[in-house]
Amino acid sequence: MRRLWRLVLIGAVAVGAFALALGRFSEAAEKGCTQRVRPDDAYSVTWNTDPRTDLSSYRITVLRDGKPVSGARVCLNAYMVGMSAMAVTDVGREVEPGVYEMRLTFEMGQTWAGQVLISEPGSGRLVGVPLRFPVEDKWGMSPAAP
Amino acid sequence: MKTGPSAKGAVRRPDVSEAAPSEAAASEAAVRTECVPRRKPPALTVFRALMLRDLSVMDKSLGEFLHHTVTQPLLLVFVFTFVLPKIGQGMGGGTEAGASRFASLLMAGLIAQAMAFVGIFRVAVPMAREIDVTNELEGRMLAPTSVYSVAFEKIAFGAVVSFFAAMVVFPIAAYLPATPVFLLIDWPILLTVVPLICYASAALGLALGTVLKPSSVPLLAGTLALPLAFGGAIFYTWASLDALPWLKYVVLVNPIVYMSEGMRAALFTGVGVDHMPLPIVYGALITFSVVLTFVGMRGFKKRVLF
Repeated sequence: MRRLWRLVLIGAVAVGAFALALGRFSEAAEKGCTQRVRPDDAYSVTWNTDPRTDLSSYRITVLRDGKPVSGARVCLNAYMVGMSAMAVTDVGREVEPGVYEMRLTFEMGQTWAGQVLISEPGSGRLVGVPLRFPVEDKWGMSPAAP
Repeated sequence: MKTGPSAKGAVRRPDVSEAAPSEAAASEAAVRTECVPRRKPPALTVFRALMLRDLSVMDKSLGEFLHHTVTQPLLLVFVFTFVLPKIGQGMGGGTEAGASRFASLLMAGLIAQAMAFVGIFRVAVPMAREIDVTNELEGRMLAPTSVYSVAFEKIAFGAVVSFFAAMVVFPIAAYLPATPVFLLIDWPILLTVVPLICYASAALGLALGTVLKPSSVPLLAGTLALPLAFGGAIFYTWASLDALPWLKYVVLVNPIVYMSEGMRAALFTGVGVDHMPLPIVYGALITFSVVLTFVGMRGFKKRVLF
């Protein structure tokens, strides 16, 4: 093996770089609200304002078993159905108990899909609520119902 | 002392017990050459020796290997996920979330492409050189093992190198893009699909290296690599070809499609990113591996025996 020392060294560097890369990907997924979670039917999410292409700020209400979820980390990630590279994401800021404000800009009017990830303080659990919703075009051409 | 050939053709050692001690020692020392049937070394020993030989050669040309392995994925990632977003021409609707989503989709395809192309070219091109230029293949055939074992070692070496190429792309994907890349690993799928992809790529390399004329193999980069890459679901998902149904089914003959989709299944790249059903991915990769191994070994045998 001594005559392969260069190869062994490069291999060790590659393994180390691979391990570091994994950590970076996990951090990015957490910040980008794209972690993979199982949906939890106890939670529900509703839009306070119907999404439109000419708005950039929205409020969503998060409920668990019908009661507002307060103090949680709530983030939303959504993509346009049929054009999956078009996406929006943001972390919510609680403005009222159970109501979270997000800055989202929907570039086109169509059906969008995604998820809301919720992590309540002290629960140690990350749950997801799948979403599928229409975005109204600013010119008034309503998309097909989801 | 009794000497002379035995019935089996071996020279019998002299019966030293009857000789004086000094004569016995001299006889023992003198009997160094004797014809006895040799046992063939175990196939695994020969395989290991061939593999070590190939690894030694690669160790000495590490710069060239790293250059070939790293350059293409590095340039593709650099242009699509760093330059284009920075100059405002990135994919994803101009938002960071969209650019990240595209970068994540692209990475799975690029990792599959790196494995595929390194596996193919690290087997096919040296094979052509060994047949046509250096005649090293004749030297390889002196190994005390079957032709098929020598061919299998070539595939195994190509698979090892292909695996290394995959590991190299991960840090490029993590640190180079201008936007974050989301890759969440599904370990059971990754640990099963990656060896399949590496093996299938190397088997394809052996098949191409033995079926094509040695003078045509260096042209693979221009004539075959581009169609394989652009029709391999690297820059887009196979499911997104719904808008072009004829293309969606034409590309199914391309093994790289299954490699890209397999990597997308192994690396969760975002909510709603579809991939080909896993039974189809695994089934296709296993089928390609078996067929290409058969074609490659038959071609290898023809090359060395004629």
